[in-house]
Amino acid sequence: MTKFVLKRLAHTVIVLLGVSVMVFFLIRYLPGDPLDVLFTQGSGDEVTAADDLAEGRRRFAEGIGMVGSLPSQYLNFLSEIVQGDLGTSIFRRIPVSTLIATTLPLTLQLAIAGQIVNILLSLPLGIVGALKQNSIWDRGGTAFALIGTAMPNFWQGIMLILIFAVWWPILPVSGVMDLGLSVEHITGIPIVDAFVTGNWPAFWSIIRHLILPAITLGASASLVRILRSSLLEVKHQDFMDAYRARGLRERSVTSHMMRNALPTTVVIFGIRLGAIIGGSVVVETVFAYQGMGWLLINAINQRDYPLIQGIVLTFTVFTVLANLLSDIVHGWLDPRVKVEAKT
Amino acid sequence: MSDTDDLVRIADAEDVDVTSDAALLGEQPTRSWVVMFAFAVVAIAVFTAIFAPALAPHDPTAQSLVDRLQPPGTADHLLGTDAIGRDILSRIIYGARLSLGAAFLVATLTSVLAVSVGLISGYFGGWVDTVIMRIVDIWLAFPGLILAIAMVTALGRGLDKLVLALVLAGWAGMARVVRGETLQLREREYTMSARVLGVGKIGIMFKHLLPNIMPTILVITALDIGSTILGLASLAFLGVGIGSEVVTWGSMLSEGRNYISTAWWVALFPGLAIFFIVLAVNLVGDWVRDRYDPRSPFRRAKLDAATRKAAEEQEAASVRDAATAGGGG
Repeated sequence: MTKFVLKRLAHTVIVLLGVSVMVFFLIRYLPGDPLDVLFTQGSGDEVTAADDLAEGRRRFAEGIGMVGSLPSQYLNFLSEIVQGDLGTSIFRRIPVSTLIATTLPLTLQLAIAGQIVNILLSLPLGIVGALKQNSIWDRGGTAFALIGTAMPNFWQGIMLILIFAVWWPILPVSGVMDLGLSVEHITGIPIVDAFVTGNWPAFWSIIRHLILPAITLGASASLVRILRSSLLEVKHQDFMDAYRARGLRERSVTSHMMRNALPTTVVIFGIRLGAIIGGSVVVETVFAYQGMGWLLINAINQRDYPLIQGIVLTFTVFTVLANLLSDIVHGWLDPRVKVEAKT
Repeated sequence: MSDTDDLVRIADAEDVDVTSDAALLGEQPTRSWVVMFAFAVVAIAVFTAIFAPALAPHDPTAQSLVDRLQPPGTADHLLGTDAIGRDILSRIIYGARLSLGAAFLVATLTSVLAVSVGLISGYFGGWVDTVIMRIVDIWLAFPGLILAIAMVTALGRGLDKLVLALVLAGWAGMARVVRGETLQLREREYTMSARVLGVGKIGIMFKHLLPNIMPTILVITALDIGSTILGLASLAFLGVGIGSEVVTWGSMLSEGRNYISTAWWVALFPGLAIFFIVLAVNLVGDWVRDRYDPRSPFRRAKLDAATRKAAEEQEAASVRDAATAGGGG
């Protein structure tokens, strides 16, 4: 197991290095030099002398690490990000790492809530679908998943707003909690902080604000098909009949089936995290939920390159680490994986 | 972008093989009337996109402040009008052009890029293969939509750049599958004999290997188009790379969101259009997979049934022959 984990860890480090190179070049090889864009547009300030502009530009370039040869720029960039320094936002004049530290917990909170909705829907649909294959429940579940994947989640979000905030106004449509409420900063995740401090009005408000975005993110029930097919794969294997032949009750047989279908589901769940994160960017924008995805779209509209770079990097590192984690859990659940890694 | 990527990555992982028959055992082939419905929707959409100028009742960009935010069913505006009085039906009809046209373009260019890279990687092997596959790993580490957003940011605004960004963000998964297939086919007898006969590398790759991986390419492309349409719509909705200067379903939705409390129709109809076309395209994709994917369990089941039937017939014939021979003797 240790060897397997180490092997995966080494691979992850290589991928992360590659990701850092790519993010580095993406931002530096913009067709219009970002510095040109920043220092020629917008101000319209006739008084500013050309010298001042050039001087400002030079200082600014220094500030975001765009001076010197490319390799040395990259090494600087890498040593800074390893230390958690992602530069300073051009427009907000706040360190990017601070901005990410305040928005990331909100994105996590939303993503987890979305996955709870997803699991609550997928688990019964997937299990019933596999146990009663080709029944009306099974077909209904498959149809539900088909419709869920085809529905654009931003549209789903807007329609939920229409139903639950316009036609039948029972839920809030934007923000993280009601104005005027606040929670003490402990973990940074509002719902946890509100719970720990016993701040029930805020806790309730946060939950109410989470409902619609979480449904939008999770209602596609993307796990139904995965769960169903991994259960079916196990269902038709010989050892299932062996259990029955040994006289196990059908309920125990089913629980063995679940246990054996789990590894595949976990891995695919890990792989799907990328899609979930992409979805959160869209959902946060629809509901003005001030997480990292919402911040990314803002940064793009403001051409705030250090901020864009920092967010893209954080999202990707998170995805890579989540994949690593799901692989390790998979190895732990499924002994065959460890054996393969040894040979 | 995302869903097939997932399948591709799963298929490539050595330990789990979701595209194998076992995992798909439970998938029923899509019912024929559903497939017919899907094909009909796609056909109507393509027809609409091509003949948009003839079909649209109004100019999609014509504004009329007198007719602003008219509900559906008002005289002359079947689906109503938006905040500056543009006819929603006409805008949806014109929007089909961009959604389908751009998605088709993205799919085609992505396949060309992915197939070239995959063939080169798989055929040449060695360090070329190692380098290309490490790059693919890095590419696949990015969440799909985030990479597309980053690419658009780097390339700048405009429809052409949006298409290019989606291609650059989406080629890696397919390249990996093509490379896997190439690795297998490279060692087949017919490839060997072609090489012995003096066919060049390019000739082998494009004349002998490419036709044999065509079914796989077709299947992946078909399964990908739906998520490409969704990706395009998402970017247009977010206003990344393309804004309201072009008529798209995504940008219509983003405008509609602002009027949701007073005019639900502005956001409802473009969303329905996206939903139906993506659903139909996905169903057609599933159908293509069932029919053309050599690894598809349905195809194999059919083949098995055919082989069994032939064997039974032959056996019956030989029994009959024996019987007649016995009777005669």
